[in-house]
Amino acid sequence: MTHELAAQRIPWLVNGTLSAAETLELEEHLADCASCRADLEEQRSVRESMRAESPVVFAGEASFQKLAARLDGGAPRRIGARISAPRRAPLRANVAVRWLAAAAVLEAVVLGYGAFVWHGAATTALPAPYVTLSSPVPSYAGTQRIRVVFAPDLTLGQLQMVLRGVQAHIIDGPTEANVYTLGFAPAAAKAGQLEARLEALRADARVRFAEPVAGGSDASP
Amino acid sequence: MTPSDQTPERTRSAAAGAARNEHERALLDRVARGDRAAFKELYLAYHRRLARFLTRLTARYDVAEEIINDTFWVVWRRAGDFRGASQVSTWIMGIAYRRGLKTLQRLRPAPSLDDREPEMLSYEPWHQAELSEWLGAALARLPLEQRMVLELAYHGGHSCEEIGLIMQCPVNTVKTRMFHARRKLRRLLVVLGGSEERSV
Repeated sequence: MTHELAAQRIPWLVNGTLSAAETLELEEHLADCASCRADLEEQRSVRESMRAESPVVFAGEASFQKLAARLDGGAPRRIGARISAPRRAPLRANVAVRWLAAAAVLEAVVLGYGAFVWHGAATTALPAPYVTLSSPVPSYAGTQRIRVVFAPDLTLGQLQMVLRGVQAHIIDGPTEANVYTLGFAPAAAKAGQLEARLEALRADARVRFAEPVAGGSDASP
Repeated sequence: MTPSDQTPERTRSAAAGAARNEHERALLDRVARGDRAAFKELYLAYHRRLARFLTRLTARYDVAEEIINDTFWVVWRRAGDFRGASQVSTWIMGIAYRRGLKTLQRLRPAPSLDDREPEMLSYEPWHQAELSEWLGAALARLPLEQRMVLELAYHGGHSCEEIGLIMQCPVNTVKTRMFHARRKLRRLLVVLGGSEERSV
């Protein structure tokens, strides 16, 4: 066996897909070739590193639910139609669905079913808007908004308690930095309550950060 | 390492692979008949692997997820067309690879892939603990086809022939891409290691 052929086979020895005869030939060459032995060790190291656990947590349940909804949705969308260059979705589009979507993402994360979590930051696309809402969509235009970062180990139940405590809804987020924007329906957004809500959120150990959104109506984190 | 101590391992691995393929083939047959439970089992069995593979391909987790679902949309619709000419895994990975390439073409113009020289990095330390991290950075600078050959071979455990089927290219092309991938990766790792003399 030539040195060149041996070198070419090394990756396939490393990943265990060479035939027995090819392996035997290569091993005979390796016994006499220090260069190929070094190459073999290098490639084993590369393979071991590539097979190391990724910090990205992939869980399929939430993703499958999106696909299942698509299968149930009748006419198929054009494949890849939802994928585009990085963009920020219009904030005011269907805020109720976005609230549900954000809550669903957070729920998925705390339950360990987050589609994609990178170093603890949820970066998944929002679930497909197949949730049907029978209740009216509240308007958050011109109302108070607060940006918050929740404790990373927050459970869904704890999140709901925080939100109920200040009568808030999640209307945007999470950003890559895990910042959520809380909004308050007009009926709950009485004058003078912003400071009280901020104080309550800042005093809550389950909230790491809370700041009002300047101008109130700009909820883009 | 000797043939005598590797052969049993390879035999066990081959047997496990054959059993897995048989199981997946049975699932695919059920999928072809509209069995949603079988479809879900197959989906969940491949989700992590595809997510990893497509994230390496696209460098975007949200895009990877979309391509996974596009891939299984095709699987759902075309399961009845699968005739067993390849392993189920090769068939599914091939669909995912082609869907991923089409998505990439739509997202950005395709670069000249095989001729591009990798950009050199300038990390100082050479610590084993950081190997995965900077290896990932180095891989990201390889031409796409070379990067994916390494990924399919070293992470996916696919043979040269299987990778040819997945990437729809001749086996010799796979070997050539592997050769260039290793050469360029070695250059990057020399820089990463901070030593021109280091042969790794």
